[in-house]
Amino acid sequence: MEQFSHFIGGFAVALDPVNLWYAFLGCVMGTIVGVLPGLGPAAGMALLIPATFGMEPASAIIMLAGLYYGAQYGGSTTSILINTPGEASSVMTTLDGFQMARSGRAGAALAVAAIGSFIAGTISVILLSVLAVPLSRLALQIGPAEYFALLLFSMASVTSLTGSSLPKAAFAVMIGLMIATVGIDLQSGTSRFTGSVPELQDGIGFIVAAVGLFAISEVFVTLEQMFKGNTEVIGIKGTLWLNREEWRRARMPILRGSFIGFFKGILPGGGATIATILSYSLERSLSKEPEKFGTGMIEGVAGPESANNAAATGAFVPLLALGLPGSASTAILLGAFMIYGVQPGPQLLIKEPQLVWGLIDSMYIGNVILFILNLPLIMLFVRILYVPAGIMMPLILVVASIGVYSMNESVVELFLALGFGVLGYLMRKFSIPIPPLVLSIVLGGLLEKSFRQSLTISGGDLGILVGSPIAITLLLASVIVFCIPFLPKRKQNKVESIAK
Amino acid sequence: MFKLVDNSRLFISAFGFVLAVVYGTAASRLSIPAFSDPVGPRIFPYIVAAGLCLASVALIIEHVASKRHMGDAQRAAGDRDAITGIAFVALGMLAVYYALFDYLGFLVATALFLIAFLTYSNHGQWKVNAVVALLFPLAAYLLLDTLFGARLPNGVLDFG
Repeated sequence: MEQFSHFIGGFAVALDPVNLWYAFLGCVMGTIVGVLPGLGPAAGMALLIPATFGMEPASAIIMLAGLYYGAQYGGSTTSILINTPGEASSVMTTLDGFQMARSGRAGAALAVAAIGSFIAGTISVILLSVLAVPLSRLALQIGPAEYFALLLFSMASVTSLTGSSLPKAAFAVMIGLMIATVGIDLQSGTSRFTGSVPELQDGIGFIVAAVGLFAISEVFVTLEQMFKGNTEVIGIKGTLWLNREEWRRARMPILRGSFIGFFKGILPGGGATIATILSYSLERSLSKEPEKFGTGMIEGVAGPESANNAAATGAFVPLLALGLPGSASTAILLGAFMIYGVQPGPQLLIKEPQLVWGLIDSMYIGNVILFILNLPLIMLFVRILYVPAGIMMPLILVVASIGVYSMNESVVELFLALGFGVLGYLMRKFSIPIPPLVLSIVLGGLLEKSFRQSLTISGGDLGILVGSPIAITLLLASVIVFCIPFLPKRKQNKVESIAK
Repeated sequence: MFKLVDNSRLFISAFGFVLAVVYGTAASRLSIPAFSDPVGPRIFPYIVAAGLCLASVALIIEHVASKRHMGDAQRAAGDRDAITGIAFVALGMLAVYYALFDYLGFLVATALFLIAFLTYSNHGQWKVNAVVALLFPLAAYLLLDTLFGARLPNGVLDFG
C-alpha cells in the first residue's frame, strides 16, 4: 500500500510543469542523439550533464533518463533510412529495416519501430515499478563484502560480454581502475598519482573521461568515415502506419521482445545490444519463413526495436535498487546521480522515494512523448540526417568543449578530455572495448572502498570476502560469467552469425 | 597511414607491462599516514598492477592462438583499422583551440577553430562555413551563458 502511495506521489513530481518540460527536452535530445549516427546515449549524456549543474536533482535526472531511453527510439531511424545504426543497440534493425525501406516500406518500418518501442517501453516501466522495491529490500541485507562481490559481478559481466576479446576487455578494466585511483585517497588522505597537478587532487572527473572517450573519439572516427564516402538517405514512402496484416505479424514479436529486453536489461553486460540479438534470433527461429529474414521481414524490426527499449528501462532496476550499472550508459547515469548528491542503491528508495518514483513515473509520460516525436514528428528529425557530417562534427566538438570547461573553468581538463579522446580513438582502432573502461572508472572508487571497508571490519582477514552465502554466490556468478567466452565455440558462432 | 591489427595484441601487452611496472613503482612510493586504515593506500593499486600484468599475458596467449587461425578475411579487415592523417589533423586543431581558449576567449577562439575546421571538413562551402563559424559561437554563448549560467572565458573581448 505504501508503495502504491509512493507510485501516485511520483506522478506529482513527474507532472510538475518544470519536470514535464525537462522530460520533453530529454526526449527530444535523446531522439536527436539516436538519429545522429555515431553519437550514442553515453556521449549524449556526458555532453548534457555539465548543463544540468544548476538544476534540481529530480529535474536533471528526469531529463538525462529521457535522453537515455529516447536514444533507443531514435536509433532505429538511421538503421532504417541509411543502413547505419544510430547506436549499437539498433544494429539488428538494419538487417530488415533497411530492406523494408528499399522496397518502399520505410513508413511501415518506422511505424513498427515506434509502436514496438512505445509498447515495450510501457510494459518495462510497469515491470520496473513492480520489481524495484522488492529488489532494494533484498539489497538492504548486504554489507561491504557482499557489495564488493556485487561490483565484481557487474564488472565481470561487462568484461565478459563486451567486445570480441576477453583479454582486451580485462585490459580496459585495469586501465579504468588505474584512472579511478588518481586523486586523494579518502580513507588515508594520501595523494595518489597526481604528479603534483592541482587539478588532479579531486581525481579525474568521469565526465571529462566520458566526453573524451565517447564524443571526441567518435568525431575522429566519423570524420574518417566521412572522407571515405557519403551515405545515401532513403526517402520515407507510404503512410507512417501499419496495415492490418503488418500489425498481426508484428504484435507477438513486440511482446516477446519486450520481455526478453527487460530481463536482459536487468543483467549487467551487453545490455540492449545482446537483447536485440536474442530477440532477432528468437523471431527467426519461430518464423515459418526464416530464410526471408534479412530481406525485409517486419518481425525482424518489431522484435529487436522492442527489446532495446525494454532493456534500457530494465537497466534501471539494478541501477536504482542496487546502485549497479550494467553498461557504459548506465555507468554515466550513476556518475550523474552521484554528482547531484544522490547515491543509488537500497537506501535510495527509503530516503528519497519522491525522486525515485518521480523518475519512474516520468518514464510513462516520456514514452508517450517519444511516441509522438517518433511517429507524426519523425520527418523533422529525419532532416538532421541531411546536415553534412563535416558541419555537424566540429559543432559537437565545440559543445563537448563547453561542457568540460564549464565544470571547473579549467583548460587542463580540456586537455585531459582531449587525451581521453585520443585514448578512445586508439581503443577503437585496436578493438579494445570502451564500456568496461568507463564502468571501472565509475565503479573503481566504490570497489576499492568496499574492499578496504571489508578488510577493516575483519581486521585484515581476507576470509570476510567469502564469509556469507550472498558473497559466495556472487563471486561464483562472477567466475561463471567471466568464463562465458571460453564456452564451446559452436554456441558462440551461432550468436555471432546472427549478429553478422 | 599504418596498420595496427596484425600485431595489436603484442603492442598492447608490451604497453601493459610497462604501464604496470611504472604504476606499481609509483604505488610503492606512496606515503602511508599514521592514521590510515589497516589496508592502506597501496594494496589496491598493487592488485590493479598485477591484474594488468595478467591481462597482458593473456593478450600474448591470445595473439599466439589467433595467428594460427587468422585468414585472409581478417587480414583484409585490418585496412579498416588504420590510423589516418584525418585524426591527426582534427587532434592538432583541437589542441590549438584549447591552447587559445582562455587567452582569446570562447567567442574568438571558437570562431577561429570553426573556420579552420570547417574549411577542412566541409571543403568548398565557404559561405556556409563562415555563417556557421560566426553564428554558432554567438548563439552558444548567449544560450549557455545566459540560460544555463555556464562560465565561459571572455579573453580578448573582456572589456570590464
